[in-house]
Amino acid sequence: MKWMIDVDNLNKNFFLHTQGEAKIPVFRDFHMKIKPGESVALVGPSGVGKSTLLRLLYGNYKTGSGRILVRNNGDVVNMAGADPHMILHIRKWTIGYVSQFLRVIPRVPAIQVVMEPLKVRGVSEKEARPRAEELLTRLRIPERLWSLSPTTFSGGEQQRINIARGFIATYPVMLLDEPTASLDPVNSGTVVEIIKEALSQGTSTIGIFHDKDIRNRLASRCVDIQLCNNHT
Amino acid sequence: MYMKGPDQVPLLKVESISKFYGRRIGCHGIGFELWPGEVLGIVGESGSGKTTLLNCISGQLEPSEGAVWYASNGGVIDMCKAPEPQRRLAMRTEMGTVYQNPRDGLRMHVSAGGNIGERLMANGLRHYGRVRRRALNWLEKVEIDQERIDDTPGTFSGGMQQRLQIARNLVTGPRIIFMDEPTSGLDVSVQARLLDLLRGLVTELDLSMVIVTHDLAVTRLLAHRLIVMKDGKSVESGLTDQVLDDPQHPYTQLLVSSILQP
Repeated sequence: MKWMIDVDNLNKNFFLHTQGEAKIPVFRDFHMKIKPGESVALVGPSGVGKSTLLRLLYGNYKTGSGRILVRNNGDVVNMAGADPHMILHIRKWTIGYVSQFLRVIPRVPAIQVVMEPLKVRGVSEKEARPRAEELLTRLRIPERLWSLSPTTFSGGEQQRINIARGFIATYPVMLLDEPTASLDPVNSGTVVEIIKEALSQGTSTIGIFHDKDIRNRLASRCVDIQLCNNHT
Repeated sequence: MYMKGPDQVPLLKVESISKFYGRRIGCHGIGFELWPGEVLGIVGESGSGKTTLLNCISGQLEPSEGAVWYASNGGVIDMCKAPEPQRRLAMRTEMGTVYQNPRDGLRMHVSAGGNIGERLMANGLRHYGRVRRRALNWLEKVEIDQERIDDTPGTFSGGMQQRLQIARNLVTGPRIIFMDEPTSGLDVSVQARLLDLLRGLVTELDLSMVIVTHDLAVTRLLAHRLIVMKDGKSVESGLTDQVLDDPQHPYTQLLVSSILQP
């Protein structure tokens, strides 16, 4: 297998119809290939499209033109043209995503938020719970918070819930948008360990890490978005 | 872990549904597929045709054009053309509807237990003790005090009435639920409770749902996919987070940018 993800001729503009039809170009003829088990860091100044690229890969943003090919259990799926049903399937089994912010649901306890990705795969609560507890313990979330909704948690606590949720299931591809942004050095260290464990199991990661030290510890290659993009 | 492919057969396949009221358009040329366990949100302003569409696909209103293929337990049927008894049977045993106004979905002068038991009895359950036990069980599931089983819905709060409607519909184990603005008459804290309850039930029972709402936050929480309607037509559709985070159509952009952030 040569690549896990193949981004080919990607184009993306934002059209702001409600703001005087402004056009914001982001990607033009962008190319990128990711191999299995590779850890790639996206680099470039703020606003260049790093997060946008992750969102395009996850199907959260709509691709203008071009292809985003992903290997999915022996098949190749083009995320750019896949129907919602297929994208949901890919998100369940193939591509995981850890964003900077946790979208909290009122009244749902932290431990349930963490277990959800396993439960949608049909794993029983009995099996999922110990794994969730192990991750929450490693990430130093006090046990008394597990049964509470993360709505009132601090930014750092919410981010660690997000990490636990992201890594409870294994995915062939993980997208990481500043997974350590609001964490102290000790917790950042744990997150780096968790990511490294996923890499050693063959997961490909594509991440944005502003912290140079963390980037050096994790990335086997950097992709400079500006250099791969033809619009500037 | 074994990775299954996506389901092969949609539960509901809606083909180019239109409803005309004389020369006025209710909805026009709407199509989509709904898969088992999936929640579809239909959003748009008042008068955009959301409820007309919902009534057409739930078998309550005959569309002027188009087809609604439903993969019932007894085989695929066209909900618009199937013989009345077959259609009624599917609606009574495999589908449910939760109305915006609880008065449309509940019998207001029948006890809560009677409201829940009605569909069970209509489907052939005759043993009074068993009906009552199932009703008690469902009251608990929708977080209504079991002691209220003999009270009529008129003595319930708005949130409780909505939850009773949900219990009344889910008691027979339907595969698909249609909801028309189920949270719009409720205050925010009650809304959150209802939404959370629905989320749990959808996962637990592998339910499919079509939910009409003008509240985008509700769809963000519940729906996997969205259809945005304007003037009876679908102007945009797709994954919920994609439609809300990267809306393409000017009208969707207007809707999304009009949400007040508390």
